[in-house]
Amino acid sequence: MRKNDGTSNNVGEFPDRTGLPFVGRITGSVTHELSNVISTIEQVAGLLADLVETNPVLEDGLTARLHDISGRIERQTERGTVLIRELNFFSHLSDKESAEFDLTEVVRNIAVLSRRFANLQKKEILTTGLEHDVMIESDPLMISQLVFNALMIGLQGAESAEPVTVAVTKCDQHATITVNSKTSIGSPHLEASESLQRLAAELKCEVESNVVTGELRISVKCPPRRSTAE
Amino acid sequence: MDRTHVLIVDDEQEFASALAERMRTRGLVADLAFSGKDAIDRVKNTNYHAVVLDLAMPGMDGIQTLNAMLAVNSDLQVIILTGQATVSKGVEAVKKGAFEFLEKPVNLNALMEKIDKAKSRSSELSETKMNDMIEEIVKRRGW
Repeated sequence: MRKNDGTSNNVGEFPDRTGLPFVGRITGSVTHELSNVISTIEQVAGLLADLVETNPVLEDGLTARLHDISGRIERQTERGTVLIRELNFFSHLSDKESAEFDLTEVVRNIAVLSRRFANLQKKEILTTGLEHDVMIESDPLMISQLVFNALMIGLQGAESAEPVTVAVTKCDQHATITVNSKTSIGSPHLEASESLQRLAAELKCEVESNVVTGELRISVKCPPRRSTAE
Repeated sequence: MDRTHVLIVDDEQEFASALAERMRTRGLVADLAFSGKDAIDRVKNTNYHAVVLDLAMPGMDGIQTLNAMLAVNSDLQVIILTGQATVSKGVEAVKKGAFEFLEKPVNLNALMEKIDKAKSRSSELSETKMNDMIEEIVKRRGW
């Protein structure tokens, strides 16, 4: 099985949909199970904190340590909850090949799920402009792959410790995803850029990438919804 | 004031038990049911101020359990717990007569707030029922 070490931009071409419903179904189901696990850990940690709170006879220093431990468990369960929620959302992206959906949700989802790729490169992904729904009609899974490819190119180009910002804007009837980073590599990696272009063409999106004064900017313009275009 | 009496219905026994124990440390009386059938038996015999019901259960699921419990006691205040992907089912449950729904993992303080509200609503309904009964008796006897 191929492994991605998180530093490669080679994220493949268009998905072969044959096995996707199966992968989505299993992943979706497991996220429910994981959510139950996290819920239980959270309540047991809460119970521990409650017992510390109501037990006055613990030796000096132990109360503070137990509080600290339950706080650490709580922070990790919160982290796990976010990841499970986003993984569940992601598992349903392959449900339909064409759907009307909120682009900001997909961008937020991929930004959260790509954090580890950024962390491995000691970089950070920031999001802006995701407060208001931007509805488009397309293939949700392929759009998510498009966002991911653009983010990977942005991450590859970004200078260390510089954040990569992904934003969604709506202009006229089009939606635009913009990935921005301060770059040290000049123009984007050719192979990754070509892969992005091919995926965009398949989705009838337009891609524009340029480096101006050391800043890499990739814009992906998505077509309007059929209902608004007609 | 009488202690708040709650029934927790969830097939995840570790989760339900920890939740019940935390409620007890806060002064509530918390009973457990690990299946829909068990929950229905319990509401037949006890007047709960609130029921905390998980939607995703094997066998009789949350919606079926809700319907059956409301058939036993239509004034029952049921708080639904849902997973993120089943929020639409939570909305459906509220339309079918559930008091409220909360997403899992659940914050205990948020749940306690809902239970307090459910208890107030339950008391209001009991009071209204009692007043209606008294009025009916007064009318019937011509007092």
